[in-house]
Amino acid sequence: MVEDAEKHMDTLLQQLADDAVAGTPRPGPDLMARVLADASDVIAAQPRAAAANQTVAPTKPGIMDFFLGWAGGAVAAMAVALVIGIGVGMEIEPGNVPFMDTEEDTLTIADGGFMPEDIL
Amino acid sequence: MAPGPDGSDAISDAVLLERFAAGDQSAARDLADQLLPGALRQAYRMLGDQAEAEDVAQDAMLRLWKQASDWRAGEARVSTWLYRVVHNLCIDRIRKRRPQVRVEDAPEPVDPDPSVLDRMAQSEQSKAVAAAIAELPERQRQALVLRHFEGMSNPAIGEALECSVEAVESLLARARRALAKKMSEEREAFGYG
Repeated sequence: MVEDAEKHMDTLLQQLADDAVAGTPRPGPDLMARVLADASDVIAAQPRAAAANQTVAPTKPGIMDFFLGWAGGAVAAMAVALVIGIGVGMEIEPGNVPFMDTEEDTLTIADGGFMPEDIL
Repeated sequence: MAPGPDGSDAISDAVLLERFAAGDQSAARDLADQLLPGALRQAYRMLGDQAEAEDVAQDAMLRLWKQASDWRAGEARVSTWLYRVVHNLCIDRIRKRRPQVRVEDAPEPVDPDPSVLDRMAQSEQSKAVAAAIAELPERQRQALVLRHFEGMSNPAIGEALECSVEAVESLLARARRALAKKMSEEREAFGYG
């Protein structure tokens, strides 16, 4: 009895489901064309977006870039300093070195000038 | 015949979506062939208007195309995801139809609209079943419709309704009991006995 009722109910549900399917519009060619056009637009937009991202947001320098850049800068600075030093050195005549004390002005501990006894 | 949204084609849907994300235009046509009829059917059942249902189905598919590149396979069935998108889009439209009612005062829209189901019924017996389904609590009605009208499996219904498989079984059992009770009370209308 209960099984019969269940069976009858399933039949009625199936009948209504069939009615619903029959009464529902199928996607027409126009709708399908609109949907596929949207899909084309999305696909077309993807490579442009990727390219735009690369242009707008260049990759940040990594830690290696930072240190290599720093070392390179240091080497360049030392090279410049060396060239300047050689240039200056070439301009100075032997025996005429500026800022160097002459022998008689040289202060040494041996002659007592460096630390007078009266201070002690 | 297009495969139903019962999860049996979940892998192929996901594979097609992956191919689409890689730029394969033919995958879009295959996906649309598989998913668009169901989306349109669901939208029509909720809205009862063909033009509106087509707009909703198109909008839902557009969201799927946009989601394709971020889709994480294995997390959800494509058909179930689409069901939820269509459901939400339809609810938005149903709410907009009633602008004179404040949102917080408006009753929660139902799926499906019972009057639409009633209009679809061809025989007196089918109309009686549609009327009985309309009297069911909303969750029971949703589960019953997804099971019997969309051919979804219980796990797929659980995903769609965001509940466990056990809860789906319970909803379906209660819905069927209520229908059986109604049928025993109105045997003539249901052509039973």
